[in-house]
Amino acid sequence: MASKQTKKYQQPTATSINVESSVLLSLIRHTSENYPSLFSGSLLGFEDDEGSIDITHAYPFPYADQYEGGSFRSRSGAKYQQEILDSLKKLEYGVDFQGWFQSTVSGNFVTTQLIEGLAQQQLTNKNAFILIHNMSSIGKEVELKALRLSEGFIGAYIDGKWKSKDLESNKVSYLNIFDELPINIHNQHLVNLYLAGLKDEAKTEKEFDVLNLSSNQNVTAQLLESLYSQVDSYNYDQNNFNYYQRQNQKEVSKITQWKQQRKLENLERAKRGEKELDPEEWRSIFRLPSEPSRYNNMLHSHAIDVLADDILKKCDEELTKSFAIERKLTSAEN
Amino acid sequence: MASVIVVDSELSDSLKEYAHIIDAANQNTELSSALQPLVTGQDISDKQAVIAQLYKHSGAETLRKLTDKEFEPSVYLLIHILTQLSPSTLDDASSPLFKIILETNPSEQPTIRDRKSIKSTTVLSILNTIFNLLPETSKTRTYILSQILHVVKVSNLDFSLIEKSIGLRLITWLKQSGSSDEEIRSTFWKFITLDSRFSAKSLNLIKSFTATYPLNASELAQLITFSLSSDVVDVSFLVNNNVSNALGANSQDKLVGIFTKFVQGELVQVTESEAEGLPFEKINAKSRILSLAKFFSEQSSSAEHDSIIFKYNEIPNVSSTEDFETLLVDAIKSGVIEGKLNQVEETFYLTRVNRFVLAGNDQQNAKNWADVRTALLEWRNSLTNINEIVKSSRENIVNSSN
Amino acid sequence: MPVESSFMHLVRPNVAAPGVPSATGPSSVKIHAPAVFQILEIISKQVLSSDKRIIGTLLGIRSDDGSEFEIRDAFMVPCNETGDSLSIEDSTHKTLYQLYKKAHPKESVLGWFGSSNQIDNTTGLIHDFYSKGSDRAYPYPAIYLNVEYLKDGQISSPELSVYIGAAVGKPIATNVPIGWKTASTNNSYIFTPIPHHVINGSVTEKIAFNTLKEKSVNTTSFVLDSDYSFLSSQLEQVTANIDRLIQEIDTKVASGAASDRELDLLRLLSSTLLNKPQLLTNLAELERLFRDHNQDVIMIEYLTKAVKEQIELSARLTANAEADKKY
Repeated sequence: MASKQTKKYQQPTATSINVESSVLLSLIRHTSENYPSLFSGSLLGFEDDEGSIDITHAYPFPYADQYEGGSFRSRSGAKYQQEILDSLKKLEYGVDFQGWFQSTVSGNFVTTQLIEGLAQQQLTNKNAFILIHNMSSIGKEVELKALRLSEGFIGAYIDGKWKSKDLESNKVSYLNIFDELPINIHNQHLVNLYLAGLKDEAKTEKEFDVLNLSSNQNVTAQLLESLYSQVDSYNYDQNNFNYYQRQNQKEVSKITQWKQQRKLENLERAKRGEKELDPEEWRSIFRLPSEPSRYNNMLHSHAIDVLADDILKKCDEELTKSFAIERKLTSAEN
Repeated sequence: MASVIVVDSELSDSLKEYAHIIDAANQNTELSSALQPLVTGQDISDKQAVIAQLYKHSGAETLRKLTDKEFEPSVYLLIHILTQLSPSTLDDASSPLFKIILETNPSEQPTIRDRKSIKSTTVLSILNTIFNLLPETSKTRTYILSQILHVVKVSNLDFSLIEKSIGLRLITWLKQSGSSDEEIRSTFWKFITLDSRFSAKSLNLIKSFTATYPLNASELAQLITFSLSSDVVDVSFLVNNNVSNALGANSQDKLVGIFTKFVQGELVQVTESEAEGLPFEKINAKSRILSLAKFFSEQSSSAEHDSIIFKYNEIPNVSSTEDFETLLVDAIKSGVIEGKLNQVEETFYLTRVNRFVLAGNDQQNAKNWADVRTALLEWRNSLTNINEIVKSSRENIVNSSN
Repeated sequence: MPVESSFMHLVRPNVAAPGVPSATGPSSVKIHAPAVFQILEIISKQVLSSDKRIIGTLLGIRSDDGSEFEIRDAFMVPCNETGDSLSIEDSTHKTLYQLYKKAHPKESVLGWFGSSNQIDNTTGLIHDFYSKGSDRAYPYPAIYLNVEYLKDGQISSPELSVYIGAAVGKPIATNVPIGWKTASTNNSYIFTPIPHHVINGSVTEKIAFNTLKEKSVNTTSFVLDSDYSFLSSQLEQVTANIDRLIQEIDTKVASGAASDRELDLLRLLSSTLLNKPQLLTNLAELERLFRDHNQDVIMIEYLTKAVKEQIELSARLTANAEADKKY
């Protein structure tokens, strides 16, 4: 987790991400071909005059990720990224590092490594972002989103403080760790002409797998497993927090008792004409436990939220198909 | 032009290079010496004389001395030189060049371990390149095509080599080169008969060909022979409008009669003498499968019969339980029928059966259209308001379980 | 230059590359869609604006016998033309190739691409560059992918063609007598077209490709929208297709005799649509199975929603508790 930052945060200026169609396709190919291994890579491009980030090149890291964000801060990842930048600079490509892509399953991408890497990037490069390819729909649909850490989150990150009041003052909760950016897919002139010139090809059954009744079964099971393990981690963290709350409660009631005591004592003393004792003396007697960081709780909560949404989506698809097919089969016989 | 020759040296140098190759093969210096007086510096005064010398020394017996790896590039060099000397060399079916190449084609294929001898596939590759060097409209392309088919035939090359690469484009090429319909038809059937395996792909080629070109009696006979000999059981898809017309016009013919019954799923029993060289046992076996399919398709759509369940004892034309089960397994293997067998209950559960859709069978087809329309409507209805249905059903279930 | 149908390809011609035996079958090239797009982007950005010759390196995999190629990626390599001579920036090629190789150790240089209207001596020179030397196609044959985008001087739908360089004359003249210039047959090739097709490596890619195709009509960019349910849009498409079919059938049945195309359609539909699963023999059982299944799914939904709400509740309670703290 982050310690106190010296870098100064600048608000991002880019409001959308433009991705060249070749980058979209090669990225999807790389992540899909290697699934279930997770992969990430650098996205290169430039900032255009209209305040968008144009992504023209994608370079996957040479090795698969053990967990999301694993390559961003690793030595080999950093080295490869530097090599790419050096080479392209030497060749005067006029492109710079703009962000990363990362394949993941649903909400599992919310790891400390990924957040740490992204936060550091955003402090160096105000418009840095990450393109998340959610593989939970692999073979059925394409789920990509462009994210960056919200201003509130970065605010707390810079302070290095994650207590409830810090979250409150930075107006950040698990629901707004990220800001989502719209992704525009851009075609160069010849690409457009090429696409327009293509003959209409019959789609195959494989491309309609989303319509297959049982096509979600494995995915839903996998998502549920991920959900369990995120809930486990969440509970582990929550236990610490609950312990803190109980301790705090205990101390608070001791203090209340003490204050009550002192109040009575001072009343007595006043009657006796004696000098009052300091009613604030409890501060030096009692030590209130300090609230543990809410950082992990936030990350797990966000992961759980995304996972839950994906599961609900899969269930809804499942039911839609199930009802449609049931209606068809039973209508035929009646 | 599809292929392009790029040679980065002067013609005189190419000539020297070619002479060197030929002379090395013959282990003499005849061609070099013969060319010497005809080429001074980079000047070639008598082009015809040079051409004559080249042909004279490039006989098949000389070229055969080259290894397979040398042969093809050498011929290309020769082609380059000849077209430089006389641009019309290639576009002339009577050119001696073609004769040389075809004569070099080995009558017997070298063994796999023999890496030196010239292979027929190499000859094919050369003809292929010449075809590509010719403009699309050149009539010579038709000639080259027929020579390619000839080489495949005499050298017994695998049909798969030309099945797709020629099959899919043959008609376009022939048309572009200005062939008459008559030529196109005869070339097509020559091509198809090279397929000794009677593959499904070839059947499809026949199908799309006959969609455009009507058939005469002998072409119809070829189609029938080919499709009856094929491993493909259900060939009813071949009966498009042209084929249906041809069948009607030749209905007196015995073979046509058999075929007509065959594709309609009527049981035919051909004897060896009737078969006239056709594999009669195979035909009879295939016909049994088709007639079973016809039975299933009729019964399953009739109002009096269950659409799925079939008892063993209602199956016609089978002699015993074993006989039926074997037949059914064959039918399922051939893809004509799908379903599940319950041997204990002696019941067959039918899932899918090929329906015979034949041109000219208007009444049957109208019924099929109606069935298909009903099925489509059912799907259509099942999708209407599906989101609302899901929503309300979900609420019902959640509420009732509370 | 050839469109696919105008050339024939039966057997891969003899090539001058020492790494492969002579062929007895055809060659074929698969081009991954991302590679096509990359090449088109390079040409769009570089050539359309500057009208300079741009070439680039093709990367991917090939079969051991050198007849199957799979182009998976490409990058640009600048080259300078002055009169008849041509210099290719070898260092760029090397740098980018080595960079690529690190992340794709199993892939190698397959050949090159260009965007020319004709094949000439320069084509031969470039092909020669890619056929020889380390970090290039050697000892395998190089292939050449050309993108032709000009038709009668107008920019139009780009057409791809792939060539292999067949050997002309005596390959690698070893014992050439002194004084003969034959050693320089290096740059002689017959550029023989070989068939190619553009592929999508995975289904997900294909879906993305279809989206590109559908959304790119008359526009150079579109928003990748993930809000709208993909399943719903697919179901709408299915419904529309069914409607179209029914309409076609209605007009068809009225018109009597069927054309060949209609017969094919009928054959396809009646052989697939009239399927009946065995389960239909017991409708009550079938309905029970569906009901159980739906209940299971709804149960998962219910519990998942509960988890989601719990998390939210817990976050709110914690925030309140901490905000209300007295000390």
